[in-house]
Amino acid sequence: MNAERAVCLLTLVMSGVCLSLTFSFPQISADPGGMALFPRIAGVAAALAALIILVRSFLSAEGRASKPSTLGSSSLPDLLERIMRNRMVWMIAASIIYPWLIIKLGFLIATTIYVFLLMKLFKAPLTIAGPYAVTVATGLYVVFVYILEAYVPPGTWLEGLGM
Amino acid sequence: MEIAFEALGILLSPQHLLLLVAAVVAGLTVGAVPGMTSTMAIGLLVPLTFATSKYVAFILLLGIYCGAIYGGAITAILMNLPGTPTAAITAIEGYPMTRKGEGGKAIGIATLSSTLGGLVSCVFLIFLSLPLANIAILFGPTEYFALGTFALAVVMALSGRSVLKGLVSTALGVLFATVGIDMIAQSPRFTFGVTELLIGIPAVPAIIGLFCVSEAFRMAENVTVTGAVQKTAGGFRTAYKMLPKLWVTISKSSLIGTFIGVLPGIGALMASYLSYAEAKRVSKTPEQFGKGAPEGVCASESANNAVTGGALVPMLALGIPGDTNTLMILGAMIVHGLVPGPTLFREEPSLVYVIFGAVVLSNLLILPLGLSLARHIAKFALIDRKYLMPTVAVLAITGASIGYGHIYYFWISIIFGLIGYLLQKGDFPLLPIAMALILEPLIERNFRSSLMLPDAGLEMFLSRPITLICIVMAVLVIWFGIRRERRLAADVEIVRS
Repeated sequence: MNAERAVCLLTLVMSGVCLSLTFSFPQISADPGGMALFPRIAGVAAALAALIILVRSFLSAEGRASKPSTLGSSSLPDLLERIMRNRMVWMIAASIIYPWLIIKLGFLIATTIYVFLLMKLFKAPLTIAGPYAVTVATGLYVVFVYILEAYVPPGTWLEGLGM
Repeated sequence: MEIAFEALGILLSPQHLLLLVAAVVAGLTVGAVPGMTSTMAIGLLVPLTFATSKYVAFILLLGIYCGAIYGGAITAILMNLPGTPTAAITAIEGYPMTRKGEGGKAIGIATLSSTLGGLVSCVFLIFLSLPLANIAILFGPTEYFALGTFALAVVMALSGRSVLKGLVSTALGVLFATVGIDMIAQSPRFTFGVTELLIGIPAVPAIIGLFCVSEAFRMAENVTVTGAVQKTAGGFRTAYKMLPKLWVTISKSSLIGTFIGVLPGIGALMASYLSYAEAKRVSKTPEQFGKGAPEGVCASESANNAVTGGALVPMLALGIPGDTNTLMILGAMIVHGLVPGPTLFREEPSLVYVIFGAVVLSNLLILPLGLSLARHIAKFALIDRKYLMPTVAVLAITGASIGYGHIYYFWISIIFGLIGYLLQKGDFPLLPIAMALILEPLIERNFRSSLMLPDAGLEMFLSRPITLICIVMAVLVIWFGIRRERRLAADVEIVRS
């Protein structure tokens, strides 16, 4: 499935959920527009537009000479292997874990790990990835804590250890 | 006048002047790095300005904005690596000039044109925004509703290649903006029992996620950039001597750039492209275009820097950003508790003049800094992605969120980064979603407030002249967008067949 169709399908699902939820919104007589009006307009517009794009996409795909799908022809292990080799997938996974790591390990350690992992994705040698990750994380920590005076999560695991 | 002198004093204080020079140099550098855009540069800087004074914040943001718009031209000309998307038009003529051994001359022309284009737009910024803000005092809820709708219609119809895809992005943006407590009914919408969602989707982390985190994800896909700086810079004297030949192109392109800048959501790329096409159309030697025509470099560069002043006009006077860069700057204004529009001109006149001065001075600084640093800055284009991508990713995720002190904002940056990445992969424009996040509350509040007035009805939207003009213009823009899309599709079919 290409990204265009994926966006359209997700939009259809999201609009459907949002539209159905708008019927449970309270209506006040003093507010004739109501809190459901804009979500309904946006939901209907998004769903219709996504549907038209989706139909067009399928029709144009049928019209063209069909190319053998590389995705369809590959076996599941091949597909999994290709996904595992995809740098993007790993980067997204690391980014999703990053906030959780911040909560558990604190900003400094979590950021060091995150930068290190991303550098390794780009095949940076350990001798470069390690010091660079520590430098970036420490630099940001200093800027956030001492210059911007922002609250930086210390990490629940480390707090539990009394650190 | 007293306020203007006060603002000049603030701007010319050694500390602020130094910060402005640093911001312009940073802008030039970031703009020169392929994959880093002016929007990303501003987006990454916005969080760092949370703790600074409002003057420092806007001096930094505007310096980096003007610098980054020009910076892309350096690597486009010297290495055929456009640092920013807008510089791709500059590269069409700039790089062939470098190959002919005229790299210094091309840099000279680009720098001079950028400076002059930026300065022309500053004239419009200064003399248009104040009267426009005065007109805005007369605006009631229906006018604000119509103006916001017009701005959304423009970005929806013109910021991408497809109006339908623009509509999907706009509608998604509206849906995201309605999450949280409804300000009139004081009741939650789409919160799914999640406490954090009650505060809604915070615009700044979401927009930084859309533009910066998604770009970091895209960087992970691209291969490492390689290249070499082919020619050193210089050539200002040659460019200056060519000024009598180029001034018509500079003037015309600057006006095109300023006009495009004032319209919401179209951006510098379109300004560069239109000016380039116009320069080619009127040229006595159109056959030279594509082989290193100086007018091409001049048209593209004066137009894209002219967008800077133009895009600030509606943002300052009406609170409607002209492009993605001013959208980020608007986000910074909101964080600093500033309300763009007539209130800003009334309550913060010295800041408004500092903003005017910072844009003028930034454009002036491009000339000496661009000419003297071009050669060195070009080397930044060779930064390995293994350093660039993790740094951008971590800065974009943490920078936008850390100031709020809650992990929810980290999630917003990452989730919107993923949304932005997926939308870009599907060729859906990102600007409408970001614009809707900013404008939906304004549009909805004013629409519903209008209907709450005594004797209110839908006919009031058609009986007030400004409201009616904006609504008619919104319809026309959508119609124009559909026609443009059909024409493009027909052109593609002709090329295919």
